[in-house]
Amino acid sequence: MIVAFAVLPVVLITLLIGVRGVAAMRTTSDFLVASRRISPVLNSAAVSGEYLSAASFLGVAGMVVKDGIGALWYPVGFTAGYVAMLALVAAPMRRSGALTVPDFAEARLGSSALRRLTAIAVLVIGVVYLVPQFRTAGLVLSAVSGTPYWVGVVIAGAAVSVTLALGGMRAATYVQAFQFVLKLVLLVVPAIWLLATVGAGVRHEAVHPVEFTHFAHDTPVTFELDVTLTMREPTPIRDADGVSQVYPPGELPVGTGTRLVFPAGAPVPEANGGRLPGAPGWERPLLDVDGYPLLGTLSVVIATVLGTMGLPHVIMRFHTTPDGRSARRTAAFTVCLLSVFYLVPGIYGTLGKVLVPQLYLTGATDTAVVALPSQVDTGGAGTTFTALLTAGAFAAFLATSLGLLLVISGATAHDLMSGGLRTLRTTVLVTAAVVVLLALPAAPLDADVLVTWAFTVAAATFCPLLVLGIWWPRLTAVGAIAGVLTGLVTVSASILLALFGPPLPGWLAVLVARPAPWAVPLAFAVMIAVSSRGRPPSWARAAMLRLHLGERVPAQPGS
Amino acid sequence: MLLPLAGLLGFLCGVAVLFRFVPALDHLRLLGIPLSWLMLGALPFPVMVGFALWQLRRAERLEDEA
Repeated sequence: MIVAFAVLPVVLITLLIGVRGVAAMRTTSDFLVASRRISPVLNSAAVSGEYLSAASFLGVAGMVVKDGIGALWYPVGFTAGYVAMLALVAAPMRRSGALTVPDFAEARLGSSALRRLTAIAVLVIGVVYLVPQFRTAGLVLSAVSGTPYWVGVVIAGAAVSVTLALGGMRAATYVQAFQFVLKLVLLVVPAIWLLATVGAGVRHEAVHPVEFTHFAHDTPVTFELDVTLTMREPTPIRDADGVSQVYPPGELPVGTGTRLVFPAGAPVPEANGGRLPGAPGWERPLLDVDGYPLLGTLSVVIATVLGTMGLPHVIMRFHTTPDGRSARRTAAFTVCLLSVFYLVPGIYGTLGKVLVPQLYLTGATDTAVVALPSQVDTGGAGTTFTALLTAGAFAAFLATSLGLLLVISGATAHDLMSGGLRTLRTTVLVTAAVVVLLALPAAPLDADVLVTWAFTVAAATFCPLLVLGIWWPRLTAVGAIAGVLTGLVTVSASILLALFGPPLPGWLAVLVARPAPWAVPLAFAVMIAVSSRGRPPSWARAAMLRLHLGERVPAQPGS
Repeated sequence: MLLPLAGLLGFLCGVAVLFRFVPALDHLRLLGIPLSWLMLGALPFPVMVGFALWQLRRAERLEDEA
């Protein structure tokens, strides 16, 4: 029921705005960048609306519950990325006149091989970023309504692809500006209600965290995924039939769909070998990975700040403004809007640690935000706020997925296949289907791993390509290809090794799981070294002038 | 040209280093909330808005002079 009330309106309004956009759309350019007439304020709301994904709406709070206060570095990095974008790429990128990043690469360096390679990088970043969005949509819908995980994933995929195939980017601009406002309201209002309702005891415990070692009350836990629990001491557990049993210390595999009740006072088992929420170090404001807090934190900051600049769907947004100046203003306004939004997820995270720490057992901490209202109020108010937060989460999912699907389809249809509007529409549907299929087995993967992966790939491919392409006249096509290829291969190989390879010791593990600190400088170095040996294209100087000369500003009297 | 961006990155690294070597910040409290939580969860956002507006003004002024 909650799903119907929460999700249907969001999808219907999205579709409605999408369909209204169709009348105004005739060419590929209309579809992709809304004919470039969007004002900076509207566009920055759309950028924020698109950017604030399920990872921001739900994931940050979930990471706080699971890993601690240090997870708040993610939103800081997500926001700081727009200052880098403002300083380095926004205006020149817009002035280049190119429609997409692959377009920019070809116009600047005149290589169709580079164009195809950047299109492939767009595909990799887009898919790696889309999978956690679909995964979170599936988890949230199953948490609030009890539907199986795959139902949520399929509903999500259908809603996104139909909207986009009907309306394109013009629709996406208005949909996303609207969804920024929607997400902000749907996150802020329930947060105020929660803070007012939880009572002084919970508020006190939220800022004085204690380790979650024993269940405070009878706690039912439904496992959506396979989990291995490790008992430290004899643990009483009631199964679905109400039969109580005391399990001895040791491991207990729990299958998908199992429902267990932990009685009040029972010790909390460890799940999949992780730390308990609130364990010593949880309250530290650093991302402590394997005992290297400073390295772990800075590698996330580097990946998110430089990766934002290279996210292809965000870059494309800057082409919808009239000129370079307004593209830069869009980036500045976006920092302001994101700064308001990102003050809130920490509240959900700290309250979630007190009220729903058991989510840690099922690996579903990403659902902490939507699980909170029912813990505070079991009546109508709780249900209402659960529905509102679910709607906000779905809006977050929908907005990000619209932009990502568009950019993946654009790369495939426009850059790899050079098709027209019809090809683009078909590609949208095919891409959505592929991502749904990839998201189905992705439920056990942590959202932060996938998001870090996408950001790091972007930071090690498009960031050097754009920064050097815009600021260094001597860049050559061969150098750019070598650098992008280096970034793409090393980052992906490194993260796959961290996911599926043998466990590594100490700082090596940090650098393999979060390769930004070495992979980004490596990509820059390769690009510069290879370019230095070649000859830059003859039009490089002219291209640089075009990127950096401001639009004619009307002469001011006396200036 | 890139002074504001460099300043922001310096600020963020400085905060991380501070957290690492001054754990006492976790125990000082403002309105009951640990100071280090506020320095990560709230302080960077107004600071980033300031750096963004500074960077914007600087870029536009350079452009107008050109």
